[in-house]
Amino acid sequence: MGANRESPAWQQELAPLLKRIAYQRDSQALERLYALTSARLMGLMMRILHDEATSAEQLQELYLKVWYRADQYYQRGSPWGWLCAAARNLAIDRLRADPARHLNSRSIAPLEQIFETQHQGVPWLEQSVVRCLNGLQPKVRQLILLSYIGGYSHAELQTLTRAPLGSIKSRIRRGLRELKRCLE
Amino acid sequence: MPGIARYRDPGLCDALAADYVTGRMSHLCRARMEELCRTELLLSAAVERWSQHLLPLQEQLPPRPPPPQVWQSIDVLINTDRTPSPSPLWQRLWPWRLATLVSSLLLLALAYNTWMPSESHPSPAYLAPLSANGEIRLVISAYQDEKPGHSRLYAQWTESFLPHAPAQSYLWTDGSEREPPVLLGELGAAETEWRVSPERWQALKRSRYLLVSLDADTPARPVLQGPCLELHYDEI
Repeated sequence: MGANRESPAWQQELAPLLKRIAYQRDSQALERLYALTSARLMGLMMRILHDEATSAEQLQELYLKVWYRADQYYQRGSPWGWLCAAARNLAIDRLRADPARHLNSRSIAPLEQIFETQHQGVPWLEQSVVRCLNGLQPKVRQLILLSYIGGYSHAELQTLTRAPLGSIKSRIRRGLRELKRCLE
Repeated sequence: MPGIARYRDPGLCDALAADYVTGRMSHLCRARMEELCRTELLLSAAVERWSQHLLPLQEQLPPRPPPPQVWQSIDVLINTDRTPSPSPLWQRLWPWRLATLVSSLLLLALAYNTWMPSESHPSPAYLAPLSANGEIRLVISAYQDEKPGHSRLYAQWTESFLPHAPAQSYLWTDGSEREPPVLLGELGAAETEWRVSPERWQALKRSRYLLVSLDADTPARPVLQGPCLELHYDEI
């Protein structure tokens, strides 16, 4: 898949850009970072927030955070991972500030569909996380995906699945342990 | 070796990292976790490992180009802040900063009123210093006229911000639970003066803050904001 082939190249640009933003207050670096990542991060936020205006608002907040806090990216790990985590956290906080809208506007089905369809024909992906997720029980996999991609809290998962809270927590924890064994 | 002993347990670090990366922590737990990750190497390595494991799933989400106004707003906000000291967005709204702005503007208004004879130069009824990053960038003066529809607003960019002033932006009231924000007018890159309808004048009178956005449809992402101050004049 094209997006995956190009990802190492654009991702390699991110760390130097973050360094320029943190230490030189270089707005052109932020503009370049925005050009490389904004559509992907907007997609990520849309997957959690399901609202374009709110996602755009949080995206603006994210890049302002990057502008002021790029020094917190401390050259350890992946800058793309850092950006994704920051975007997810902002989106989740926004979502949890308005829980009623959250549960009314989201459904489970699209997540599973994306998972089921998009990995076909992507060998590197089939070898890693998707293959391992496929090895989990469907209900467990669904809970992990809803947490990670949809930003659902335990309480929201309980409402959606009508399963006991303790059972949800233990299923996720067991699923993550299995996932780790498979991945490593 | 610095750090807390319990975070040298690989099993615990791994479980915490998995919870963190999959978004199953409360805001407070997450903040604590991020603080710990700065000093606890095992923990930060576990977070990085889980993040890398699951990142391919994020990359499979369809990209979605954001509206162009998002970058325009960011561009305006960062171009107003070239000073070396980092200042997070929320700090710009702290009361002491507002208090400084308000007192500066009151002094300006007082000086204006003292030096300009009221017969030849009408005084503004309202004054709004709009700022970003704690710096005033735009001043709105509102002049009331007895004739309906003749009250007018005057927008003037500060000298230092003028080169960065957006070509097109929109002035809004802040709105309230009962009243949505009201568009007061369109601003250009130079100073602008325009008349406002009685309805807009009333909305301005009720507004505690004025906002400037780059979006003509909503002030949800303001690039400038500031208090709308009613001025008092002693009758001579």
